[in-house]
Amino acid sequence: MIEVRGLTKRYGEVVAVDDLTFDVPEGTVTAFLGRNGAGKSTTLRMLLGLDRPTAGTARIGGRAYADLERPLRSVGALLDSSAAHPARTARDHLRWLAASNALPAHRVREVLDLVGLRSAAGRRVRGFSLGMRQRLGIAAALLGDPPVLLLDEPVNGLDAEGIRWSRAFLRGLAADGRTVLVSSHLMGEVAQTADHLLVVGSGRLLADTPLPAFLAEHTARRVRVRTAQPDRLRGLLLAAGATVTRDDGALRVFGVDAAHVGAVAARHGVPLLELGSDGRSLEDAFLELTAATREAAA
Amino acid sequence: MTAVLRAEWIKATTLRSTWLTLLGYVVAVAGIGVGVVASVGDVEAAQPDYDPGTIAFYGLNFGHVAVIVLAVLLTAGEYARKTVHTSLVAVPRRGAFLAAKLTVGAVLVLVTAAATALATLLLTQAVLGAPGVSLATPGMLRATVAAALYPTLLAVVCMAVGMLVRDQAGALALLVPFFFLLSPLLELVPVLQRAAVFLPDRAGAVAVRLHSRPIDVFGPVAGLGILALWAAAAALLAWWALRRRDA
Repeated sequence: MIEVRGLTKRYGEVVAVDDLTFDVPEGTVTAFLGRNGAGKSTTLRMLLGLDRPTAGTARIGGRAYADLERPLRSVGALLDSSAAHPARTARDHLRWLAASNALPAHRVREVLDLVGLRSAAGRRVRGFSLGMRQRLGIAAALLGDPPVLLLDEPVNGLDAEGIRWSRAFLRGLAADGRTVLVSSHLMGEVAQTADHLLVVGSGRLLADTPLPAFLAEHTARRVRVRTAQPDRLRGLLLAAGATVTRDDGALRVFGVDAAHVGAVAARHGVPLLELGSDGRSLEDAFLELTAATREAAA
Repeated sequence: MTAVLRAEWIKATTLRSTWLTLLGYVVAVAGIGVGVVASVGDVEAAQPDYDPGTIAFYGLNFGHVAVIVLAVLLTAGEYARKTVHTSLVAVPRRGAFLAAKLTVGAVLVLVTAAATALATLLLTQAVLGAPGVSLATPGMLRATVAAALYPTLLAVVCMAVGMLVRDQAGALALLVPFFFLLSPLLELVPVLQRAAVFLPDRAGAVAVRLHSRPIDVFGPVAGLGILALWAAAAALLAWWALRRRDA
């Protein structure tokens, strides 16, 4: 169980993480989504005790990470794939990690097998492809067989094969009953395996919702409407409680259905040129959600 | 703590650069010592201010470049490779992490420097022949022990600076000119020399001499003590900064 309460990180004037509060319940896979620079990595770094919060707390199993006795037994983390020394072999990288938490030496062989790096174990990390580095990072995260995993952009920069592999791997971790928090700037990638979504923009929490509820709320009711009086209609729809964004001459309306938009237009005598609703992808929903806050923040 | 020490030991000893820099130390100290003795040893030995310790361990100054490089690779190198994130995730207690790192680095330098000091003494005095000294010569055992402790403590100073600067090039650009050029030169400036002998490397060098010079204001044991104080102060500063700063 991960508990984040009022977590804030400021770098001078810049607010990287702004009063974040959320829980990651035990045994769920939670996707931590946001554009690059939204504050995902900073949040994970504070969870791991690498960065000191300006305010608030981040706890794992009720304790601050730095207070964990043998942290790799409780939490596995994948931060960035370059965090292994290029001149060290994969096996030696895992050997020192195992030693640091008094983990049995046979775990090194086991995790190497698990991620399919057995044959590359004696090679220096320098010669590894990005996909192999990512696997090594996941092997390191699993070394202590931890119940909680924090994975920062595990599919970033991977080729199709690597993405397929890590997707299957994430599903496997979930099936083991582990608690997984996985960050990504690609919503479609992780949504397929996640139970729950946390969406951040400009350091703030935009959504904290189960995946099915998010789909129902954000992908179903989207209306596209074109009118000669876009500003007027936008004002009317906003007053009706809808969310409205502009899309090259047309308006995109969320939160109400097409019939409702038509009724509002008719009631106020706004001539419509086009009205329709269309389904859209999760990726679109995500982009529009984060775009909206970007405007709000500007 | 043993787990953290073992981890730092594996980290240091699984990098080829560690062994290369230690080999560089041996070659510099023993090689330059023998070279100097072979070329000017008999002339120097006839001088009234001849100090067998200074001549035998003439290579120490050059060996220090290897010590500095090793110290920086073990510390700032973690920041250059971002492995410090992995390290601190595995060992969140930063004091333990730093203590283990400094201990492992110091042990590696101590063992290497002790063996090198002994070998250098034996080799240089064999080359010198008749005017040569031995461990039985009063002060020479102490000078040889100092020739092992001096680089070890200097390594601690340099590792602490590496942790503070967190940048390999920056740390090297600071440490190499300072200990290789600036500090020895300051000792030659008349108005500064009595202060310059308190600098870490100059204080350590006092302990390697058999005879004190007119500018020396403290003896060999005090010299090592002053260097140890520098090492302790640098380590404390590094610990304070490591605890305070974001990784």
